[in-house]
Amino acid sequence: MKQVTIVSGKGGTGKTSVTASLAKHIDIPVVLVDADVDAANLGLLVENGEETEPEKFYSGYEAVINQEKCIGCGACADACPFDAIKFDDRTGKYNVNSYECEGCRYCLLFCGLKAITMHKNEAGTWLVRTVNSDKILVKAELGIAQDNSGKLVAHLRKKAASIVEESEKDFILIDGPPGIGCPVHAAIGNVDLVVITVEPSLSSLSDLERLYKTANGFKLRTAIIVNKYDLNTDITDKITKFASEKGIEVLDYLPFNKKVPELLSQNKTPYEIPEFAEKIDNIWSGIKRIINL
Amino acid sequence: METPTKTIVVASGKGGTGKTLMSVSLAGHFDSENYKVHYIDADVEEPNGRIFMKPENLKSVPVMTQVPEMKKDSCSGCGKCQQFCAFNAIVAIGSKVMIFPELCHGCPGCVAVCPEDALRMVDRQIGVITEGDSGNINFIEGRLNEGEAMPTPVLTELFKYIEDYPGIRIIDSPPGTSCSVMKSMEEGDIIVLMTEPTPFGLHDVKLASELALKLGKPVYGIINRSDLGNSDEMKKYFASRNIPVLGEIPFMRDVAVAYSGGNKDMGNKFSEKIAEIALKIRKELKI
Repeated sequence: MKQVTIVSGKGGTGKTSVTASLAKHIDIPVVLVDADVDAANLGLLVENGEETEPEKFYSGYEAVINQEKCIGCGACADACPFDAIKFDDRTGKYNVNSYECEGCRYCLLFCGLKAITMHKNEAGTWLVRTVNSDKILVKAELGIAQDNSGKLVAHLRKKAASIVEESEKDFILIDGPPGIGCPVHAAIGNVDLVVITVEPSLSSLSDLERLYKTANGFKLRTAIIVNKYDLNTDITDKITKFASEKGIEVLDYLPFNKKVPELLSQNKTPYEIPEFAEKIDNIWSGIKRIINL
Repeated sequence: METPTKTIVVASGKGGTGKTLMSVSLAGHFDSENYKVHYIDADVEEPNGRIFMKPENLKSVPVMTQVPEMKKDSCSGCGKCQQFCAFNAIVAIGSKVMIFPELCHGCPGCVAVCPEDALRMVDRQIGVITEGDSGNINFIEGRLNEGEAMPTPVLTELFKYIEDYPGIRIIDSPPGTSCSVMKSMEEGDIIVLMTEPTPFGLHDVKLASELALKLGKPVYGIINRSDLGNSDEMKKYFASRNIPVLGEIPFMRDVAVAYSGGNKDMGNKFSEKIAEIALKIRKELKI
């Protein structure tokens, strides 16, 4: 089983568009994972198919104070390391703000009346879409304002791995989240290749450096795709130089093309543009070669 | 003239729609009208504002979190610390413990439950807050160290840091709709959502709008690259949620190129758009 994740550091550089274009072209059975769980867009570009009922995903716990047992002493509020417990003037009792509660359970140590209980935190929902026997999509929607998205990403990847085991698929392609935090760690952990999409801006270059450091810290192999390369060829050169210094292969350079957002608005991928199709083919060959697929 | 204190949060849902572009431009515009302005970069995983603001006279403050460590050799191997920890950050092995600092959320529960008093909490640096001047504009940035998993402690420190800063505070928030974004939105008197008229933009701005509305904040939209996609559908959505659209900015290649080079000066056509948007924001904020 081989796995590839597409990330970026900076948002808006084309992760999902590239993932969807690759998915259109890939000549082997594939399980797609949309790991950008708080803004999951890959499903908009992948063909429809039968979907399972969304299943709830629980991650961590949140504290709930029983209002009848609570005597308003405030010991829990004083103790809470995250300032998640607040006094309610109207009732004279305390309440946990579920958005702020991190589920650590420290407050339980301070309530002599055992008025606090922990409830499973519903962090989001996930489902599996079967496009056909060769293409399956696993995706999730993280509940609004939730954290713990790394756990949901890990769950999706586990699900994808079990689908691969059960069926005849050997390849998992993961559309990653922006940034460098926990959900990115969960999306790139143990993959065979981390593909970083960049645009030629100083912002994206700065983010590339931070993301590269993060991926390198995990000892993962990386490759780069430069998107909209012709918007600033000086910075494209800087990216090429960075790649060469670090021994990272640049898979290809995609030009800026106004047709791309038009196609996206019709739920079509950039693959529809012949010049892009050629480059996506080239990128896929490069990926296959690097991971020995 | 003293500026009343108001906070504008610029968020989006989808990444790459122009949050930093707008935050930096609004900061520059209000500064040119002689307001006292603070630009705050809350995208702590990938803070880019400094590329445009080019702050000087920098001073930094480390952001610390707390993790446990063994303070004496009295571990009895009882495992109560491991049982208590909700995050698998401490594991008891024989008469020692193994601690995973990146997983620790900093609550002193393990220290409290240890019957041998073998643990204590110590500081660990996870990020840094940097402050500087960008002309008359005050620049404050939160930055999470590479390899760290959790951005929220940096955000908490950042917003504490700017708590009493008077004037117009513009918070450049991260992409997405997770709790980092919620924390940023909570700081705002108004929330401005940057979006693009693609299906991705629409999908994500719906999530961001719901979050902002749930927090009870006044929400406004700006459609960037408005001519590249389906703007009508976007406007229809905003209208259905009573979210006023402050402006539509068409794609301008020279703006994209200036942005790519870290150049704040985006040309006259763009500046006019910013002036229109800023005027509407001033009306909404009553300043």
